[in-house]
Amino acid sequence: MNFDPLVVPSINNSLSSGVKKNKGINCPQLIESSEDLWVYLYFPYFSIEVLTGNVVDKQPCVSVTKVKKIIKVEAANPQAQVLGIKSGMSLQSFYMNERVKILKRNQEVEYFVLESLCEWALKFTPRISKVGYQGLLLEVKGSLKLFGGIKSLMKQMVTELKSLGYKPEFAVAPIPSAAVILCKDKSNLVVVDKTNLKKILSITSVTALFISHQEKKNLKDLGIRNLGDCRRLPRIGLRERLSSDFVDMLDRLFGDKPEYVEEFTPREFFESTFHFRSEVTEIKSLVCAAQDLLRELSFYLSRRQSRPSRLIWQLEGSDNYRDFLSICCDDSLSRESLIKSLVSYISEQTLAGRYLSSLGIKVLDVPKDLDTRIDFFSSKYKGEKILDCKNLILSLRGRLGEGAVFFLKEDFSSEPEDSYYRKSISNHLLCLSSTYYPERPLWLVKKPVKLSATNRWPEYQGVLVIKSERERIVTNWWERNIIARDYFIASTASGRRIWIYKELGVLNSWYLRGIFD
Amino acid sequence: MKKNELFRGVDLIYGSTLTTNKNIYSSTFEDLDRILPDGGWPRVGITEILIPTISANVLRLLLPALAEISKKRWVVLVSPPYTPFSLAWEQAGADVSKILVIDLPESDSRNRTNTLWAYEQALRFDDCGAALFWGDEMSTLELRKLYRATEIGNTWGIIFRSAKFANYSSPASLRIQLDTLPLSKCHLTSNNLSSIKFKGTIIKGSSYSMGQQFLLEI
Repeated sequence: MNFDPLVVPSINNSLSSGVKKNKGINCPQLIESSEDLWVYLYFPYFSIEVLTGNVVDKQPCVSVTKVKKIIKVEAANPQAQVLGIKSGMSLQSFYMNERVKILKRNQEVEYFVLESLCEWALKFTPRISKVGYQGLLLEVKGSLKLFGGIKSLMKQMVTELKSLGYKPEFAVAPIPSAAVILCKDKSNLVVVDKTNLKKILSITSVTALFISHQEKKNLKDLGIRNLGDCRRLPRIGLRERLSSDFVDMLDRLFGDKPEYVEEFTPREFFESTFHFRSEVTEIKSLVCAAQDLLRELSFYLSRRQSRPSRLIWQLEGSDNYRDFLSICCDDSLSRESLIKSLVSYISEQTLAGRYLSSLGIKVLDVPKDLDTRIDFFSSKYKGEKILDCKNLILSLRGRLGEGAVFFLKEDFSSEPEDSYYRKSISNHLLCLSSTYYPERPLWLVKKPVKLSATNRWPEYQGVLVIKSERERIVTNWWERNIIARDYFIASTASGRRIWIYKELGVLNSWYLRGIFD
Repeated sequence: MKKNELFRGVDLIYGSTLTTNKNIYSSTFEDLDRILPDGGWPRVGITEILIPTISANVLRLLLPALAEISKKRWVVLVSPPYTPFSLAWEQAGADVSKILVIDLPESDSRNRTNTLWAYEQALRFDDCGAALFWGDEMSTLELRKLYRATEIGNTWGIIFRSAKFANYSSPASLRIQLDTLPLSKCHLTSNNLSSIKFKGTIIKGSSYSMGQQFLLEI
């Protein structure tokens, strides 16, 4: 990949025509708005890179995974793609080609490597989020000045990642999900403000969305080609034809609704293990693994501004072989001396024909300079209040979903099964008599529970005793669902009071609706 | 006044209830106010209510105070065991337009983390008077973080937990172990409204309220 963020692919070339080449898009330094700026780093060959690093860079290589008894290609590096191998192909189609190196995908390793990349990314920003198994989102707005603008920042990121053995693609946008979509549609695109983002998104193909094939087919059947077409359709119709989630996703993508991004929380200790793909006999392989682990450790230490006080090498091998080497660290200790001590320890040990299968490292660290530490528990750092109710609700709904947060007083529904249906019941009751307020339970069960009945008499934890007069509730005739019920307060054998009802005209149809005590 | 009585603080509590204490919400039950620290529910801090089962309904004890709070500030219910019924809250005198419910679907695998986060947000909310949370397994660190959030938002945090956690340490400023008497011993009043007997013990509070027991019929 040729990296040059200033030569952002022309919008007219990368997408379809219709958007002017905007100065704001191609000159990332022109960021003036107070919006966030999200960098999405996508690693298309991550499943291969985590297993090989730079070792087999020029060899065709694929990672495979088993899906429903068929072994399929998860990722193919550019050399393998030249041979015509694509992701999604079955292994049988090229199994005979001896040049292709086949690796079994290991999601556990990918997870831990992505965690270590998060640690690495902390040098650029504290706001990092993992996206699936092969992507990172970084909020870099606050870091731009320090790193000399987005061009310089992206250059540094990509160069460092290349040196670590990864080939990332990226996109930059003020909205996190938009950065992800843009990267999928066309990588190395930098969009710094929402106005331009909306223009670009509106001509982005719907195939870039992370939706099911069925949903994509539905959109195609409707004649929708790009996101702008979706936005022009009536929202209610779109909700009915597709789903509410789809409309919400579009709203978040265009910045009309807040988006929650789960941020990465750094580890508070360092522990990592390198699993060898085959049992190790050579010191050279051991040294390579040790170097990888120490490089990962250096990210961790630089983030925490700490130094190791004690380092433990953990060795595992065949025949339940387990051993460890503990090294007390001081300022004079270098990477080379750590590896040297490990190698000399291995050489001294009698492995008695056993082989090493993994090398681990565990580190206890102490701050470099105690005086510079910030006391987060001082009165100066008390955290922030949430001042606005609207902000609270937006933030809650953004993370938990629309349905998880609601006001007690919401009478949008006329369904009695809905917990907040005040209309159909209360209005009717209050009409009966202005002074008649029957007792209501503090709690309703989420869905009415059908009760068993013996000789037409309801039972719940034993035979129920009806404690109140019946209270008939009949909805108005013009309402969509006509409800006719008799409600009672009943007492269980243990004395617990519950609210039950009987559907009128249906035999043995008793339901538990609420709980008093 | 005998010296011993003074040290037990009994008369001091009476004294505090005579004047309006701005740091408390009255429970509206005299017997309870008398033994609660400062003569009522605290306006800021965590109050832990330890109950036999997490679904046990002891909300009636707090309802008058919550109804009063809802007239001025928000009341947030996080992860309640059942769905609160607005009419019942109205009957108790609450302003239901100021009551917010946060309830995550049980199928959500990140339910616990999200619920704790949501509760912390509610506690940090400046206009939130009280935030109720039905939790169970909570570490001291989590409780401490929630306690700090109550200080930030000047909020009363009420956490309902199982009584099995009574012997665990907690940073909550007030802890009450509560039980309802067998309902067969309670009776229905003439207008069909039932009364419940609550039996409680203050296991953590101010020095004079610690270990105090109360029996309330509501």
